[in-house]
Amino acid sequence: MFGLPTATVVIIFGIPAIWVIYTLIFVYLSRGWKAEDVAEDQEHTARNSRGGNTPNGPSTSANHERRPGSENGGLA
Amino acid sequence: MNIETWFLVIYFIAMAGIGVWTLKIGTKGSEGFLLGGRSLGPAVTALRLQSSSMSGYMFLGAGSLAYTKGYFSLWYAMGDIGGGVLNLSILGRRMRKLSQILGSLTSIEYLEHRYPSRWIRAIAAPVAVVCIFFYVMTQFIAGGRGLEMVTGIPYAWALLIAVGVIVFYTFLGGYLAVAYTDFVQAIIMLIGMVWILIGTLQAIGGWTAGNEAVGQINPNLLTMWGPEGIDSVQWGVIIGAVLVFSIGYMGWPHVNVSHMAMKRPSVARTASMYATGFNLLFIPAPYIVGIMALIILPNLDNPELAVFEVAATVLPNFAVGIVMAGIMAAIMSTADALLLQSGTIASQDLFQRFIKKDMTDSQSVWVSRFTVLILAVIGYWVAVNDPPSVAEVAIFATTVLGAAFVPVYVAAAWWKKANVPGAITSMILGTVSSVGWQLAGLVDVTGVDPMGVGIVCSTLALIVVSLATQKSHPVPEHVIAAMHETDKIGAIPAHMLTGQNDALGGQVPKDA
Repeated sequence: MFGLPTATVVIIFGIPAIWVIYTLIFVYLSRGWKAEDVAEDQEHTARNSRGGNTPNGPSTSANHERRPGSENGGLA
Repeated sequence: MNIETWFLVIYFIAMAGIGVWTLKIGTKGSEGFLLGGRSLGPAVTALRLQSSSMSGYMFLGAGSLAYTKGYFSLWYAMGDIGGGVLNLSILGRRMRKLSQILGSLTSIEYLEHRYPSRWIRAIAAPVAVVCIFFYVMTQFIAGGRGLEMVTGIPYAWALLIAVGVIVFYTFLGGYLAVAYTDFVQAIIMLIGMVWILIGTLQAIGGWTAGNEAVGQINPNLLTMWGPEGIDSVQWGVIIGAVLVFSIGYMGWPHVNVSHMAMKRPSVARTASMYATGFNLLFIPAPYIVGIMALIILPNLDNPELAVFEVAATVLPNFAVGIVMAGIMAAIMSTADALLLQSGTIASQDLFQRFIKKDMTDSQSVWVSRFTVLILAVIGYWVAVNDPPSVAEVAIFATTVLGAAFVPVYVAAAWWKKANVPGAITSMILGTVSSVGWQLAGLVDVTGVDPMGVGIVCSTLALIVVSLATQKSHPVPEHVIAAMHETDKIGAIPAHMLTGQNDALGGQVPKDA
């Protein structure tokens, strides 16, 4: 097929097919991750109503003190 | 200026415009600059992850491998196609969540927070900077070679312009700028590469006719066993070729930072579909073009130029301008992502961590700029005087990064017993074994790829040393707590966010 030896065809179509199947299985198995978004939104809303410091939305970590401007490698 | 140069200038300005725009919309502060405020969605995450790691290699290295080794070269593509989904599925959600709980802003800092010891950063940062520098150098060479072809400017001057533009992009700064320009460039690269592939297949009368013509040159070029045939096949090398761009991705600090910048942990799920889709369309194309170049350009002096030369031959003039300029812009601005990582590691992970903890913002900026300039000058000097093979350098850098970092990144997210001595031993053994194997020339003697050797050494070291030192060096309770929280599907409780919790707040080593 395609002027190629059978082994070549099997490998160059078979391995990508395995990756596609892997992706589909991963997407199926991780379908519950959406619940994390809902929970995070609720946590964010609750935090905001308490006056929490989340200037960048629900995904802000608070380990590093915020400083204005660019820093830590900032080249801007 | 010819039409290609005009298109090139337009692309450069457009990319610079995106940089300036993202500076305006981006959040301020460390997290804003280094992680884009952790605001990236699945498409940007996936395509940034892919384009930041492949453009220079794909346009020069992949074509060169294919031109010299035929379909054997596709072993690298076979691993590469799954690299994105493997990385996102294994590390994506967990690394995003754990890095947020631990308050990590760089991928090297994340390792130190997970394995609390200054030695982790002291070892990881130099290894990462050196390997990323090698990868940047391949982008320099690709940029210089491509610019030479597009504009007709001599290589030395073309390289100088390419390096200058790359450094300029880097100075625009910010992860958000890098992420969005990478996203646009990934699309440009995909369109350009598919366009070249279609033009190539049309020029040779179709894929089947092309394969039959290649078979007349050497039938072994059509096999997956190399030009010498199955008798000379080295299975260790083939396994290494598949591993290097599949699991190897999980050891790249500049790629893993993509996980930390995701808007939500669940972004990894959708991003995996984008990554696999992009890889299926893009990755095989330069290899196929490189193989078909054997028919279109049988006497090519420099195989690294196979894709560029084929594009110039098979595409109509106007298309050559668009495609080549787009590819060039993509190559050059991919390098800025790598340079930004180098500058960040130098200022954040080395200088500020070990030399001057009370460094001001201005000083930090200058450390980064100085690092970028030093790397650019050294890179230019090497690339202009004795340019190494893009494919060899890219594969070597990927091998060392993979061998050194894959086990520590994977265990950081998944194995609660992985501790500091295990991580230190793993990184050192992974680096030394893979570099030593390559430099000692053991690949040809044994037929075993340094990636395989390095990954086995570093994995075994992590497991054995971690288990042997559990009593003397237990994993701190706050790290265990953070990992337990990462296991759960749900929002991070407010008290877990570092700075709001004394136990977690004390996790950042203060004993530098």
